[in-house]
Amino acid sequence: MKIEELKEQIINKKVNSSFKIFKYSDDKFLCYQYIEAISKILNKQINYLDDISQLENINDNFFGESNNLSILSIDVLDKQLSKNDLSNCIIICKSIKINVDESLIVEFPKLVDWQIKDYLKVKANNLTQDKIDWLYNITNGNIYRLENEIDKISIFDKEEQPIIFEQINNDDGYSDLCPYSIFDFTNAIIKKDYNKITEIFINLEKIDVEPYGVITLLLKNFKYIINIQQNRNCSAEQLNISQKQFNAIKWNCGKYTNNELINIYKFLTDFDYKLKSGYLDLSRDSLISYIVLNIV
Amino acid sequence: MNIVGQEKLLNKINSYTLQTFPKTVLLLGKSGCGKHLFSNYIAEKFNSTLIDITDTISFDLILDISIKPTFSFYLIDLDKINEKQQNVILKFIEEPSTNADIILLSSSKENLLSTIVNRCQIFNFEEYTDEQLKLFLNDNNEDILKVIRTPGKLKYINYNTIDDLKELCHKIVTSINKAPYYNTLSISDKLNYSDLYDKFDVDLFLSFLKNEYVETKNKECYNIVNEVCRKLNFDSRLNKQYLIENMLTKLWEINR
Repeated sequence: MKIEELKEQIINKKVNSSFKIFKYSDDKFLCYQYIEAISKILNKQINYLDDISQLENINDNFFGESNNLSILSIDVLDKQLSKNDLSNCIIICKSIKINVDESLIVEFPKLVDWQIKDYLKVKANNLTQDKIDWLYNITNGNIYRLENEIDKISIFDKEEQPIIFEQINNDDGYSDLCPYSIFDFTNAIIKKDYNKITEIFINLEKIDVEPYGVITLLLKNFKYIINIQQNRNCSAEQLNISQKQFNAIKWNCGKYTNNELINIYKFLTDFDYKLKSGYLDLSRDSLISYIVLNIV
Repeated sequence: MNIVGQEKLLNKINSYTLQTFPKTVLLLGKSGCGKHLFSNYIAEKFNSTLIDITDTISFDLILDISIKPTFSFYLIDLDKINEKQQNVILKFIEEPSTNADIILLSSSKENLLSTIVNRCQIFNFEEYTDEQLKLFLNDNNEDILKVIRTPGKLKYINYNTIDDLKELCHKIVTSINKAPYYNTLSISDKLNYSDLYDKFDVDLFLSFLKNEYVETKNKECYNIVNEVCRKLNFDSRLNKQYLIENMLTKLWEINR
C-alpha cells in the first residue's frame, strides 16, 4: 500500500485493523506518528512487543477482538510469519527478507528538511520561519530532539509562543544544542574553512572535543592526504578505505603544499608526544587553539 | 607450569599461603618478562581463578566483585588504562573485598598514581641472563639478544624477517635522500605496534637502524633514532607509531 493511500484513510478515519508492515528508510519517527493516529481512530491501546515470537499470542482473546494495537519494531524481518490472524498488529522494520504480500507493506520515506520544518510550523504555528530554521540547524535536523523542543512551546497559546521561545533561549535552554562534532572541527581544519573553524571555536564548550581526539583524527586524515597528494598511483585499496572516502579526501588535496603537509605531520606527531608526556600543561581550549594556529 | 629464571620471585611467591598472600600485588617488569605467566602461576598455586578485568574496570564492577561469594584473583594491566581508570582501581584497593585479591601488572612505575604504588606489595622481575634467553631464541642470530631481553618478545619475533629488516634499515640510510616523503612515512606501517607478529619488531628496527648510522658515522641521524629509543624506554605507553613517524619525518628532512 502506498503511504499516500494510508494517509487518506487516516484523514478520512477509514483505516482498518488489518495487518501492516511499516518499512522505514532512515528513522522510525513517521511510523510512530502514523501508529498513534491509527490507534486513536481504532480506539485501541498501543502495546509494544519485544520479540517476534510474541506475535503468536496476539488476538488469542476469549472475549472477542483485542483492545490492543500490537507493535513490533525490529531491524530486519527475516522470519516467516506463521500466525494466520495478525490483525491489530503492525511490524516496523528497515528491511524485509521474507516473501510478503506487497499490499501489506507501507514504505516510509526519509524525512527531508522542508517536511520537518513544516511539521514544526504546524505544531508551533506562531513561531517565525527564521526561528524554525535556527532550531532545525542547531539540532542538525534531529526530529526527536526537535519534537522535544517544539513541544515545550506548542503547549502555549499562539500569542505566547514567540515570547516563550525567546525566554527559553535567554535562559540558555538551548545551550546544550550544538550542530558541530569533533569531525566537523577536524574537517574544517583540513579544508582550511576559516569561517567554520571560527564558528566552532565560539561553540567549543558545547562540543565534545578533546585534544587527544583532535590529534588522532588530524594525523589519520593528513596521512591519507599526504599519500593521495604525493603518490599518483595511490588507490583506495592501498589505503584500506572505501572509494567514497578516497574521493572525499582527494577533494581536500592541494589545500596544503607538500612542504606544509610535512611540517604539519611533524608538528602533530611532536605534539602527541608532548601531550602524552605531560609537557603541555595547558587548558583544553588553549591546546586546541595551539593545534589550529600551528596548522592553518 | 614451566618457568625459566626469576628464582627469587618464585621463591617469594612460594613462601606465601593464601591467607598470608598480599591483598594487592604489583608485578613490575618489561613487556614480555612473564607478568601474565606469573599471574596464572599465582592463581594455580592457590587453586583459584584469575579474572582479567582490565577492559571492564568500573565502579559497578567493583561493587559486583565485593558481593561475589567465591574467591578469585583479579588482574588489571595498568599499561592499558588511563589515569581516570587508575582512580577507580584505587577505590578497589582501598576497600579490599574478602573474596578478591588483586594482581596489578605494569612495565614501569613512572605513570602510576603514587597512591596505587604505595598500597601494593611490589614484585620486581629481574633481568634475564643470556643463557636463559637463548632457550627462547629460535635462531642462531644472537645479536638479537643485544636488543630483545625478554622471553615473551623473543618467542614471538618473526625470525624469517630479520634479514629483510636489516635490508630495510640499510635502504633507509642509503636511499632516504631520494625517496618521496609519502614512501618514507609508509615504513611505519611495516612495524609491529600491537602484537601483529607478521610485521617487524619496533625495538629490532630501531636497533638495526642505529647500527647503520653508527657504521656510516652519521651522528645527527643516530641521535634522532636514539632519542626515540630513549622516549620509548621511558614510557612504554606513548604512541609508538607516531614517534616512529616523527623520527622518519626528521630523517627525511635532514637528508634533503
